[in-house]
Amino acid sequence: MDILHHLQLGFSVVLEPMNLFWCFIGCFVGTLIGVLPGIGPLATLSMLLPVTYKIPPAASVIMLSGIFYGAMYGGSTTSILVNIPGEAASVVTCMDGHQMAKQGRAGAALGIAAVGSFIAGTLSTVGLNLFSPLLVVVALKFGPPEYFSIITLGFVVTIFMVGGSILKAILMIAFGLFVSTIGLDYVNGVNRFTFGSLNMTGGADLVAVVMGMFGVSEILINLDETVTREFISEKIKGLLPNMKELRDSVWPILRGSALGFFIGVLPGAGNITSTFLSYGIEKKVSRHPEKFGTGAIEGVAGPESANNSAVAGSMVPLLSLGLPGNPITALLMGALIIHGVQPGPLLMTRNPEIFWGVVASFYVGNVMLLILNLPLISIWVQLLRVPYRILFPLILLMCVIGTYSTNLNIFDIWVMIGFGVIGYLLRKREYELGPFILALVLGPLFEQSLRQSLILSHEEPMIFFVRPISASILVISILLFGLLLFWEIKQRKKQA
Amino acid sequence: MNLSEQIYNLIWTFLAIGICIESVRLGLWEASNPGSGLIPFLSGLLIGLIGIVQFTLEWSKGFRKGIEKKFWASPVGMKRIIYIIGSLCVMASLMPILGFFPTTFLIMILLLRVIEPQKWIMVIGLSLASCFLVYLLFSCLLHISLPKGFLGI
Repeated sequence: MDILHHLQLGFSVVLEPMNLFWCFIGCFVGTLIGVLPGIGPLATLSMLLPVTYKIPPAASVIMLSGIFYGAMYGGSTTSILVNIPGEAASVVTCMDGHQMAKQGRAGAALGIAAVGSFIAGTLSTVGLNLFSPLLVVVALKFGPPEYFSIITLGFVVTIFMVGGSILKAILMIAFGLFVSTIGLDYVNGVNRFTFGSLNMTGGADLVAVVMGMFGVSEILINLDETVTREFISEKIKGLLPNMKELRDSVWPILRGSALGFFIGVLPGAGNITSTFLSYGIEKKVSRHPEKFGTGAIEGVAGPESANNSAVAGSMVPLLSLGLPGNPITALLMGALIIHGVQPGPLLMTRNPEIFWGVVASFYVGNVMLLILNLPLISIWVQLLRVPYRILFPLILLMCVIGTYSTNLNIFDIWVMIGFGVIGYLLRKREYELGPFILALVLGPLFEQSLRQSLILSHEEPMIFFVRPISASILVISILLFGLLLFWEIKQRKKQA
Repeated sequence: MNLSEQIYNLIWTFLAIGICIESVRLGLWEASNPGSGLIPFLSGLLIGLIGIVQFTLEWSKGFRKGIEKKFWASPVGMKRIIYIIGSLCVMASLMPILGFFPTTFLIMILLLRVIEPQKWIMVIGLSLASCFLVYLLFSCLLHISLPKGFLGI
């Protein structure tokens, strides 16, 4: 009953006209950038972070979350029609979605993607609703050593999930941690790596770094590589799948929803992993696995449900533990911190309107997205025709002014340009930026937990292994890391 | 061996050396408290170690002609990137002097021409429109004061 009472509070928050407006803006922008290939939700979130300064914290997170799950909806459109994923989590949808479109079933593919996303989004919100309060109870028992251990686990899982080189992923975490230490050390009052600059005392501004690393570098990478588009130009009709297609999609949607939610909860994992797993599972359990890759509707329904479900899943550790599991939730955490709101176990009691408002916004947002994505699909398709030569300068301009508006300081634009170049150079040599941003956001909490733990234990590092929760999390982290190293060595030996 | 990969590894290693030296100066341990330099030192150590490991692994592959992937996909792409970074730097330098409107207008013209040459009328129209759009969003809607130059705009 308590949950229903809280949910009522959440709905009263999200149904306020202004919050409803920001929720719509989030869903709209999310779908927009999901549809447009080349601009991911992470870059968009970073670009819109300054906009949130002027709106209340609940509305900020409602809007930013809307972008996150809106992008998952919109991403499928580009994958199906152009065979280019609108964002990374829609890569798998290309395999069967585009094949369906080539066979004249684009409408059914788009329809099932939207319906599956809606069902998964709603089911996972129920999960978020039920799991977050349970996790809050556990999280209240956490002290600095537990936080240190869980962040360490988050880093290890992030390395585990990164597709490329493990060494590069570790390096990015170390680099992110280093950048997070730039500025005034509030414990000892010492300036670190500021080179005497007053501008650097506050540290590298999160918005400037993120906009550079993701916004600017994304544009630079896109301009460096020429992408060809194979566009399905025929009129899209028959958006509602037929009875057989619906029957074939029911179980993949339900499996995708459950899988996506639990993968989303894991630190470091997320929507991209969940889509690949869902596709693999659907292919395994299918009576006709040979049809996968040639236009099987299950290959669209499962992964599209999984990536939407993972969004709500990833909100669980953020809202209840104050620990973002992926770079996007790390930015959401940044948005809350900017407003002076600390996500974590106390968020539910100190700021219930934010906690439950965000949860309720997921229900409302999913309904908005269904309306935006089914009847308005032809409008989104037209957007794919907007040339990059117009779009990219506009995005760059938004990045510059957005960064400036954070602190009204020109120096931040220089930071953005610097990190834009660094991000571009890193991406050129296949360094993943996700681990960097996660370490950058979690760095201060990581350092604080380590310091507090060592002070608590009178400089005894064994404190991390004496407390049962901390010890078990650290042991899992060490085992996982050992496994990772073993694989890396084995793979390198194979290559040699 | 990939030459650009090796340059990256060397940069990481030198960066790590710098971080570690400064971290030691900041202090790794104070009385009964971890010092300000501890976490940066550990990060630097990790960056340096990985830089060296990657350098050694790449070195062990030896020199093989013709297998190295080009760093830039095309000279056109390279030029575009340089122009765009240059334009952003010019924008950051001019903004405090000329103010938001003139700088943004000029830079938008530059960017729209650099990415892919278009008709001048289109370029000027789009530049003006984007200046007003950004002004509307940030200044009118969000009440953020945009930089004013000596012209007062």
